[in-house]
Amino acid sequence: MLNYKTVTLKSLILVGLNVVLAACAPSSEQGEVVANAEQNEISSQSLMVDRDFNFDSTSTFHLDVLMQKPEKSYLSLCHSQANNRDKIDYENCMVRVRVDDGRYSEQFKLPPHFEQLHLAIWFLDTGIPRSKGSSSEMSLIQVVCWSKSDMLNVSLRAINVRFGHNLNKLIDLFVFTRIVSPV
Amino acid sequence: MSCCRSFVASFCLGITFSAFASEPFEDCPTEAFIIQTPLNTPITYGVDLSTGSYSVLSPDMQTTKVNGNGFNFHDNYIYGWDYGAGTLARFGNDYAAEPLNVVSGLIGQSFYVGDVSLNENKWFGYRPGYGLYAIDISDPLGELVMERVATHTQMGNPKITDFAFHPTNGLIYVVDNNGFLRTIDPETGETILIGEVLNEASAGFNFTFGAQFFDVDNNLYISNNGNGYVYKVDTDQEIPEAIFFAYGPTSSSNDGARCALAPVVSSVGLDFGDAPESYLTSYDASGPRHGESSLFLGTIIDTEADAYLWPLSDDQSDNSDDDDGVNFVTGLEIGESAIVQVSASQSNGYLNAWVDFNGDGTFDEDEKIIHGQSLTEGANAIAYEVPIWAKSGNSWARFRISSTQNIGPSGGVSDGEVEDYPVEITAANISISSYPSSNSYTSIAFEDLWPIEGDYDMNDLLINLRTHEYSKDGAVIKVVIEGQVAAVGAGFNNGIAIQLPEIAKGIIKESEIELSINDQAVSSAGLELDQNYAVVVITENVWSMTPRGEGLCNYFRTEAGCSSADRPFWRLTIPFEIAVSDAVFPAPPYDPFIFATPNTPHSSLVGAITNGHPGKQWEVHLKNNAPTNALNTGLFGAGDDTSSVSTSAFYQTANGMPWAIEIPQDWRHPLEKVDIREAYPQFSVFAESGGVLQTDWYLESKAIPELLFQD
Repeated sequence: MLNYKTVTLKSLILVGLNVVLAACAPSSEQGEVVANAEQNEISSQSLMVDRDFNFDSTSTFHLDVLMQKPEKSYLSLCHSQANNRDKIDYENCMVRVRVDDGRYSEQFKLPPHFEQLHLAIWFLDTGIPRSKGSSSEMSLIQVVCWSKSDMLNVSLRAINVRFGHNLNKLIDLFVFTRIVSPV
Repeated sequence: MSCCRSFVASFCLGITFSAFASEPFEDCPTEAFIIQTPLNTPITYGVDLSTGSYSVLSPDMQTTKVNGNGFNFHDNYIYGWDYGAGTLARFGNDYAAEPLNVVSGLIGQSFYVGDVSLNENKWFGYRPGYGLYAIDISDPLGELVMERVATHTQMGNPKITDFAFHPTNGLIYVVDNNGFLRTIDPETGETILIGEVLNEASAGFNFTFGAQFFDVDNNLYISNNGNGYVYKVDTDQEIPEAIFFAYGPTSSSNDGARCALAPVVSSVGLDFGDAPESYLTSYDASGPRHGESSLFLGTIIDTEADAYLWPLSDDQSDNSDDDDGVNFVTGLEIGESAIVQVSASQSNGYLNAWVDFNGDGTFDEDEKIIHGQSLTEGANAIAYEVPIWAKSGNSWARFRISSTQNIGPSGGVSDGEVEDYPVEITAANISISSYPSSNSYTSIAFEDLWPIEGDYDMNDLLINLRTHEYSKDGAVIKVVIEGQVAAVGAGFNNGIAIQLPEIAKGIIKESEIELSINDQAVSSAGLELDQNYAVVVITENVWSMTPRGEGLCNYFRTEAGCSSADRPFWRLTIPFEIAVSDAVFPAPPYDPFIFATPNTPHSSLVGAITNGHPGKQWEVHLKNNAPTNALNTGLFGAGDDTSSVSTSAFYQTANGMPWAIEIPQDWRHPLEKVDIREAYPQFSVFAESGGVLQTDWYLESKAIPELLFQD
């Protein structure tokens, strides 16, 4: 049974391979797709597929979060909203987890068409107004958007960042690694 | 003295009437009229009882005060007591009081309790300390005689501030200011106590029901002066009770009139919630409703004539989800703090919100998480506590924004929006990992001729899956597998099952396995016997949960012109007695497979090997996924299959082609008999490259559109 949470050296090597081949691959314009179809006669014997290849198209996505000072927080790794790529959709997430010790590390199966993910970390106990309170403090949230657009230089950009009074509660480190799993 | 006063009144009225005669209302209006006198100038408001929203119809009724009003169905005028003229007056569609010539009775006195009978053309008024009086208004411009029906003592000296005529039985109904419903016979003044419909101590505020109206369905509406709360009393009930209905206008001087033969209907332009009806959602349940305005949650608001109750919310059916103003940015974990991010369209709104923490299907007072909190325009982060007595499981939350600061979970208000959300409450420190994500699907496409190579249209059975793993302290304690049937193009009958590889049956809380199909609980859900690992059958025959096509459609969503928007769905919950470490838990989507429906035939080859109908001896899994113990391994190597138990190579041809594949999205599949390699030309590149190239071959943008099934 495939254990997708295992990272292998083989998979690391394939990162580069995938990028290079992807860069050389023809455009996916539909016209070219039709042309390819016409060139390839379909028959039940026309394909030769590696016996070990199970037709899994997903890759493995590693997420490591390390905060300089452990804070109680809540982490969500989610998609963009359907009508606004700059906004996180908390109803469509890959993980939702409370983090008490400032560390989180996990690996996920990532379909290739997932173009963008958002990581949101909300800190608890930071003076966010209670329902009956009247505090005017800003809420503390960091949302990081990860884009697949540059696979060699994984881009991180912060959006909708609003910090409260206590800046030492910033997240210190995000590590995003995209690894193509061959298994 | 009284004669002189009558003369003066008659003289003046003659002039007034000729100078200011108003036209009657055109018909029996559905709105209620409320006359309030804040600064010695009576103002007429039109009140939409469905929401409590109101507008000024007349800023000055040209007298000092009007009270004891009633709508006269016989001539479409409103009659009430004109305090300035000290007599009965009427007003029509210009809302100007027109004093009438009352020649006897309590002329010059005041009446703040009154209404007009529907059976008789008479105005009735009650004056504390005096009693019940009647004036025949058949000829309103003639001399009107006031007659006493009963003394206040005979009536029991009721503490009332308005009353209303029942639309059919001829009696007067009133909720007194102690919350008791009474009837009054207009012929005799006999007063009968029906019972308490509202308790002042329980409500927490004083009662002065200064405006009372009926609708044609025998519902009595009572408006409390102090806070504007409108309650509805169904007088047809054997033991009536007052149900909160709407937030209306407030006034210390308040009276109203309404045509009792008009229904109270929800206005066009109301926003409703969509939670199940137990939460009081629909109009009939006096659910939350808001008049359309520029104040709302998120960026979208829609309106409807009544609520679309879950699961038939219009958010899905019209592809416009207006529940877009609340983000649950943290989970709801028992005993922990939680945060919501609420977006408001403008700054003058107040937010009230509830979560059904105990899962009893109602929003109780101790389940209110946000109490009339002022919002700023844009995003607002608000923290709240999930109580330790909350129950884990699926529940609902309700958020209401309005310019009225403190409102409840039901009832109408003039502006704002209500948004209802399904929520999940979990124990503390539970992480939820979803694949592909919590609101998307992966697809498993099966060919069912195995061990004979099929036509590779990959739609003999196509299911959508998503999985949710609930973990605590790094170990999975529960897994939820949601699925739906996306296509059935099979000639054979097949069942659907899911195996959790390497998960021993003994670590599962079998008695707590839950399975529902199309929202109906399946009582027989459990683990398959004689299996090494956990196997749960979703259905033994997919056709038992899937409608076959009609007319020329033989299958389900595989033939052109045979679309269906509804996909049969299931939800399977498997809790673990012993938590399984995240590190060794099988990868999603685990091992979904199909098997032959018991007592139904498959191919002749299969029948020959299995001695008849194969049933669970025949299975198809994803390539290289091992079968369950039920498989007849004599099928391995038969036909085109080249499975090898010794090398753990399963369900593949000599060319390495599979009988089942996973496509990690809600996939648009090929039409019946269309080879996947024709419909998706890049599939071949992907397959032969071992998954290195064209990994997104399955995107619709890479397909030949006319070869795909289209809804």
